[in-house]
Amino acid sequence: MTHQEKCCAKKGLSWLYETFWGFPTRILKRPFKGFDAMKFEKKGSYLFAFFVLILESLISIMNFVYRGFLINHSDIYHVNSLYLALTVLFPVALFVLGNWCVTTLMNGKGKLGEIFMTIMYAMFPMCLLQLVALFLSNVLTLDEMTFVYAIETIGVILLLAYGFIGLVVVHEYGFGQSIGAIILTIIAMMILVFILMLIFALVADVWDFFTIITKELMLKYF
Amino acid sequence: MRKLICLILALCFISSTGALADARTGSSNYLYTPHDEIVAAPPAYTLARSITARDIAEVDALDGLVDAYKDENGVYILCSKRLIIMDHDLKVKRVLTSYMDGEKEVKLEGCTGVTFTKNGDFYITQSEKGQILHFNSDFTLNKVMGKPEIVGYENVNYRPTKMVVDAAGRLYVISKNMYEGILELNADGTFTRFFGVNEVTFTPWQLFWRTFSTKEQRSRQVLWLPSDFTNLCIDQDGFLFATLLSTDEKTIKRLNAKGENIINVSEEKPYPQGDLWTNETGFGIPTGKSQFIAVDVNDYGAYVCLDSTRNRVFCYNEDHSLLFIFGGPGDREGYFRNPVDVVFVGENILVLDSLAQSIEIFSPTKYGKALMNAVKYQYLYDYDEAAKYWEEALSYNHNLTLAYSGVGRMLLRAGEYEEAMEYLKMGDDRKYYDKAYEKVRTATLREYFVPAILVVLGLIAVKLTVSGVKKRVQKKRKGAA
Repeated sequence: MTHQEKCCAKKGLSWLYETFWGFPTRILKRPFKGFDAMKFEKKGSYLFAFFVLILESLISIMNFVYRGFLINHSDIYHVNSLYLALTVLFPVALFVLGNWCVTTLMNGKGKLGEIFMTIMYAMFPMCLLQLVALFLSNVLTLDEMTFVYAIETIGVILLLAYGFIGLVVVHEYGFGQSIGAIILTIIAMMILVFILMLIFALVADVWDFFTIITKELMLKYF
Repeated sequence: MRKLICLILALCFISSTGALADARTGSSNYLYTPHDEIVAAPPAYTLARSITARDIAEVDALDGLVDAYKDENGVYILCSKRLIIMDHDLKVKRVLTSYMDGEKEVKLEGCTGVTFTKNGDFYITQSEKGQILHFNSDFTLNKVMGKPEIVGYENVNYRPTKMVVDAAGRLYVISKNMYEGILELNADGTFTRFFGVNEVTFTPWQLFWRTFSTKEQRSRQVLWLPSDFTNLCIDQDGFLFATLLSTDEKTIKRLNAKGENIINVSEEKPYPQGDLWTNETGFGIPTGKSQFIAVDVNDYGAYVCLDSTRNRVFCYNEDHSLLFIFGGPGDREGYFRNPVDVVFVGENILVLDSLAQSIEIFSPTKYGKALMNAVKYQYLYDYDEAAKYWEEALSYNHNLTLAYSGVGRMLLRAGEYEEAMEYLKMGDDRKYYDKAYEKVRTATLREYFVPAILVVLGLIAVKLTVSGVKKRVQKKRKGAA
């Protein structure tokens, strides 16, 4: 291996470390500074954001199948992994879109990509804690399962806290304004779901219409 | 070669049809998994024979079958116009069609329920006449009990349909249109109290709409009344099993002396409610939840319930786990047209079919026998014997969750924790799995604790020495420089 190659390999390794551990942990240690760096110094990585998204989807599948038998009441022989992944992907997409819709109208400075990245960086600690909980659920007895639930709850609280801080920083909002934006986001999410349902119903009707017409034609002419 | 294969296939076919011809097919052969899914099960009870009027010389017709009762002396079948007394082999001993009320001979008419006491005297309820006939053990009339005096109920119709007598001689009577619960009467027929009232429950949605409706609308709405009881029986511990017309899943209740329902199932297990998956859309098939109209308990706490929606019989053990299902609507063997009552007679189960005018006798298959024996020995705390029968039942039905947990519990008691874990997991029995797992984990920890600590200590020692050596080397280098 030449010197140059060695150097390149070292650089690659350090880049890997920085994107997947260094920067995320820096955000965890100093969230305000970290999210600031993500937005203004372009330190955030879409690669990492998508990595967390996929990891969280995988964890939701793993939680269904590999959670310890003592607290796993799911029917593990009938697992729908696509549905389980969607239980993560869909709410994230909905929140990011809803938040973007609301904040563009409320003079928020965050872009769609930045909102997405923020949520994903905030989700990272929850992912790690869920992995720990998943492992513990296979080792602990029924009395000790409280730890598992506690760890999972802490994960959710961390997601909420970091997500909130991240959104404050990214949109350059005050505290009250942020709360308002989040409440409006939830309303926007409901509206989005409503519109989606409308679209699905309409598409189904149109589909029905065309299938019936084809059937009629087939019966008449063929 | 091809001929050989054909021969082998033919042999297989012949042997398999032979096996089929040997086995009794039964009806409604399914169970529910812990995840409430339907899974096929071997028949546990199949039709042994059915008794119609043709088989009983003493009666010309078995019309209006309404009730069956069994005690240690015999089996009693009540039609609306006659009482048939049989022994346990279902041989008719006596038929009662009329009784002497003083000088006057009165024919039995409109009977709805019968119950016997330990002394041999018995009661027959006549719903339309609003009275209960009390007979002595020699079949002479003791007294006729009319409507008991209840303050405030002077204008309410008294329609006693079914009743039971407890060990102390108290009468528990179900009366139609008395929504306050089961009537508890003293032995002389005087009223003591209402018992086990069915609370009216509302959904938030109903209450929400009710707040918006006007007085006229409210007066036109259906009254929200507590549901009616339909049938009852006393179990081996003296508790009352009662079935009721209910809109929620609690269509059977086990009542204690205070009248509270004591069927408590854990969150994982469904309430004993018959079918868990039901058709809601119609298309000529019965819709809605199962509606139990009759119940009977055997000596080991297992109870059978008769579902009037789909004419099926469900059997549960004392822990309210489903054991087996049989029956169904239809004319074929093992199906019913209008079943009205179900009763255990020895190891057999009797079902009265009022439309077919027959008494259907179901006897256990090998599988059913193993199942009932396992339940019996489990009830008697003989877990080793029970496990033997659970294993036999498992050899017929690999999907029997209950049996896996039964075997698992025995293994746990025998100290074979790892095997126990395997069985308890298949039995979906988390409580006992936890116990077995704790033992296994403790043993593993004990085994590996010392080596693990040694390894960790060793690693620390290696690390310390290495860093020490490094430092010394650096110092030497510095010294050299």
